[in-house]
Amino acid sequence: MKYYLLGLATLVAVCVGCQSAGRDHSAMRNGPLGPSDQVVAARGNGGRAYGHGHHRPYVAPPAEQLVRPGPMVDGPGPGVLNAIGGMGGGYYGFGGGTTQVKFIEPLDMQVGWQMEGGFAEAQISAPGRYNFHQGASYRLKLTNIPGAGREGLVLYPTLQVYPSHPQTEAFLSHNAVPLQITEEDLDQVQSSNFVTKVIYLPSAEHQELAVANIEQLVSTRLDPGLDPVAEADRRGTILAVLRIGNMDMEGAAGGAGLGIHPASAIKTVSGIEGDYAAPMPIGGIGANGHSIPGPMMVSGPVFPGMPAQQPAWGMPITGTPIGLAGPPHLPYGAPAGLRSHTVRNMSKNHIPEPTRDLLIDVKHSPGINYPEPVRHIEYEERHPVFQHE
Amino acid sequence: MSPLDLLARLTSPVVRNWPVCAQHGLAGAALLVACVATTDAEAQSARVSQRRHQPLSQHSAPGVAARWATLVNRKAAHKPQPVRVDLPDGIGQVAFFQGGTSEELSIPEHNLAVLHVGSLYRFRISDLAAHPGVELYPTIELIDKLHPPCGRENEFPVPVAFTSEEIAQAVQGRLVTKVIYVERPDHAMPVRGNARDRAYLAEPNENVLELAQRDGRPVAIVRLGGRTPDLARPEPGFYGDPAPIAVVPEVIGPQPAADFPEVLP
Repeated sequence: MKYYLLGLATLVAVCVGCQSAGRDHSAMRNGPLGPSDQVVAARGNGGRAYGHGHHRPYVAPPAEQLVRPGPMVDGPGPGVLNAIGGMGGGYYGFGGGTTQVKFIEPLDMQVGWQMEGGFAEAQISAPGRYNFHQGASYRLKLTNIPGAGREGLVLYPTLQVYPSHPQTEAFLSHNAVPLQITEEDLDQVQSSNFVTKVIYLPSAEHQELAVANIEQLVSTRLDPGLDPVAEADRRGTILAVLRIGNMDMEGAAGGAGLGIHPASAIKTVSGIEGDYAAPMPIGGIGANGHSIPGPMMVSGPVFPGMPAQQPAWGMPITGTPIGLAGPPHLPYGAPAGLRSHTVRNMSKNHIPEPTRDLLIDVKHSPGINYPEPVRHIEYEERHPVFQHE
Repeated sequence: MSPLDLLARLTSPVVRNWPVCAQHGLAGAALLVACVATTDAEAQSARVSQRRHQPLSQHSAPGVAARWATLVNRKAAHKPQPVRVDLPDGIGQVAFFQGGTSEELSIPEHNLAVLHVGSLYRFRISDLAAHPGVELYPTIELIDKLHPPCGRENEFPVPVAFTSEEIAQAVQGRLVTKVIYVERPDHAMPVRGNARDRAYLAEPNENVLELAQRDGRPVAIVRLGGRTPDLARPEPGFYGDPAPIAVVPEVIGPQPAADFPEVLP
């Protein structure tokens, strides 16, 4: 008897449970619509892989992966599609690939920067703005710093401008990045301390308001041992990093930043006299900068000490009379008569065979989990009904 | 240990004195309630996770939502849509940059800017009454259009209203992103009022586009910040897409009667 009752109860429970789950999956609505309900709901395969009614939260791929969703998109070579939203004023180039830096304090401070062969002094005066190209580091020259004990003080900080990210593109195309050097920062530098200021756009969980605003971390205000760059990267997306020390870059022996050059080769441009020059990148964003490699693998910017005019990746470097790689036609100007052109490499090289099978295990956490494709749509409208008295 | 033994241990001695068939009935009822509660919890979790996936948000790069909209909604793609810019106190100058260049097209008072769906426009607001000397360069991207009666398009522009607080926030270096949407008629409050009065602030971790789609149909995304163009060094792309733009006078439609109630019955 008891097993009969138990079996009956189990059967009823299973039937009620299936009916309840089925009602929710088809999103049929008999009552009034709530303000947070979806009028149109989709019914997929019901989480076949995770059990009835169970599936993990939907997780989208990273934004960068959404822009370039797969192979043959936005890469080198013919027959390659543009990145989604990447044409015109989309992901690339809406802000011209620049970050507008606004020097706020100290007031009347003159800001210059390193250019090719010297320094361009007093290019802008605080408060002032300048658009720096992203993905590069610049050497600044700060002069005319006001304050007691700052007479004749010249600082040569580096400004590392990070490349834009899909999370920061909207902000950087509409806002300037404020840069403020406080009295405390100057005191630390004059005390031979190294100051690192990291300006970042906090992620949503670290924001107080929905209106986006940037924040900054200063190394002198963090606990010992904490890396401000790593901490800012944990809290959001880094926009720029300013590093200030008291090294004299134009001192004896030609200065540490410019190397040894003949005096005639050192150029000086002063904004006070109305001369202006663009800043020269002294380096790119390295692996610690979390830079996103560009879609086209071309030679990067030419920095000091690098050979100029590096060929682009994939381009032949063998010069031929017709500009393409291949056997030269000799003599020049005559009809092609060369039948054979052989180059033999007699070097004793040992180049191992390529690996036949390579296994790479990758894992996303959480993994991408899309909703099941829609296979049933029920649409229901409820209109207000007014009755005359 | 069987479920019946477990139930007998958990219940009071009074139940233990019941007849055996009554105890079995109680055990079956408890099992039934437990199963129903479990299935309801599963259904609740399934209902919560049935939200639509929204890959775009207010953090998406400017122009991406508009460009995706032209691919999804081809009927509205590149169609003209009048836009009216409302400044605080109604005082100020509005000028759109046309053709993706620094060439300005001033929008006089009581005039509309006719923009095209799927394009990104940059415009300038200046001579503001509460913010003297402030010039801001917001952007607008149209991702859909309105559907007014034929021939009366200029009576129903998309209102882009800025408040004094939003301008102050932009001057302070914040980025204000506004999503303008058409309300769902069954959720709309039956009161009259302008767009400035009916804006609300989202939470930091909320997707504004998703909220707008929940409450209606998003039409435009407006971003207001403090970045200014560098006149000495041209910035390609700063002034938006090379899309057409036109200026038309605003048409005021028939007004409701003076005794028309503020709240509909």
